[in-house]
Amino acid sequence: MKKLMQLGVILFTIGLSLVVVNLIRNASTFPMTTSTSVPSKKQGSQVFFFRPRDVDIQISSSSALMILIRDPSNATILNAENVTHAAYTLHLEKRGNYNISAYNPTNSTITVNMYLTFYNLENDITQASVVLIAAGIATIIVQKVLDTRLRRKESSA
Amino acid sequence: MKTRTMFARLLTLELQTYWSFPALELVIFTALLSILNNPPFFGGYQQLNSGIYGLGILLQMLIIGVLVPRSFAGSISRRETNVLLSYPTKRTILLASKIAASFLVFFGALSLGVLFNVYLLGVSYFELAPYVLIAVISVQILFLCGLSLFISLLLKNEVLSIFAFLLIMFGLEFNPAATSGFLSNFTQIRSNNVMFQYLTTILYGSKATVTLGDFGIAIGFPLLTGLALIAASFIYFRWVLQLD
Repeated sequence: MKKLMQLGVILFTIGLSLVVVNLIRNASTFPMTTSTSVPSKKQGSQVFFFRPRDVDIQISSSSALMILIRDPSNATILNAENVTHAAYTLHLEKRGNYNISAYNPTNSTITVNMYLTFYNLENDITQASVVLIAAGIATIIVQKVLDTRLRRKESSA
Repeated sequence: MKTRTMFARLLTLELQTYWSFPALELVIFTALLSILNNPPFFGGYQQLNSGIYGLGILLQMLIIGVLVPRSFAGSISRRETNVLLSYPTKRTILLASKIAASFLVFFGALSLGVLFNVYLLGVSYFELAPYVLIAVISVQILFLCGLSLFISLLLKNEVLSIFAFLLIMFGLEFNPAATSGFLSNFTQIRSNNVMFQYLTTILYGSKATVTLGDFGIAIGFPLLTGLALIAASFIYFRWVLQLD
């Protein structure tokens, strides 16, 4: 096999492997549960490493509080007040550490429970695999075209 | 012809003959799957080997056990080794090129998987942990390739070598006595974790969870056994093996 063709097949293989890996990694939608106590007039925060997927967040607390979620670039993606029982669907754009903060405005300590259910494939892996598969196919086609031209040239000579 | 030139030519020939399509692609696929299969809930360098610790090492054992005998026992049974040795080629250089080709292919593919995982876990490429893991994987590849090579040379039959390798490896890995405790340090599944944990603990200065004794066995067994098997293979191939 010619070198360009070999490169194309390797790129295609890496892309295809990433598709399979992406499917296997994200086959499960097992929910992640976190529970924290926030003292009166204080803020509690936790940092989680999230992958770029869609997520359903269910929040339940013993009394109303304020919830703030920041993405890895510190931009606010959720800012909700007076939350006791709520559900949100978020599309996580970036891979990295997300900061989830809860502010307790009441005069007593409250417990916050969060259930996070992730679904869909990881965006960045999907994009990388599409690019690699396309690059692989393009490289194979270029090699085929070059071969055909060479054969035509040889037959006409 | 100079030894180095002969080695380079034989290495290229080996890569083109035994490690081109579809073997190389199969190795890449398995390597990516073996390292990236299990996404942890948390990021960070501690999770780099989370995939290898489970399904990963089994996939690596399977792919090495199937493809390495193809290059060694397969070339003997198909009489390709005889043809190569009819040229002015030294036996030791021929075997060295075959070992180097196998090692390079697995090392390259698994390193690619680790480097992908570095991005997926949000670890910096300038941290030492990924390279520690690549070194740990190299020791395991050395052991697995060494064992497969030795069996292939002894049996000179591709299919039998695959079965023998897999039987020995599954015996070592799934021996009921080795599921926990001291003996578990001899298994590839646990030794990967022990080596990685111990070395990263030292490098990052956190509290050790693995003892020096466990680490010694985890690194000593695959490294020394792998080197001894490769040395034995050289001796056997150079002075004992009869090729018709």
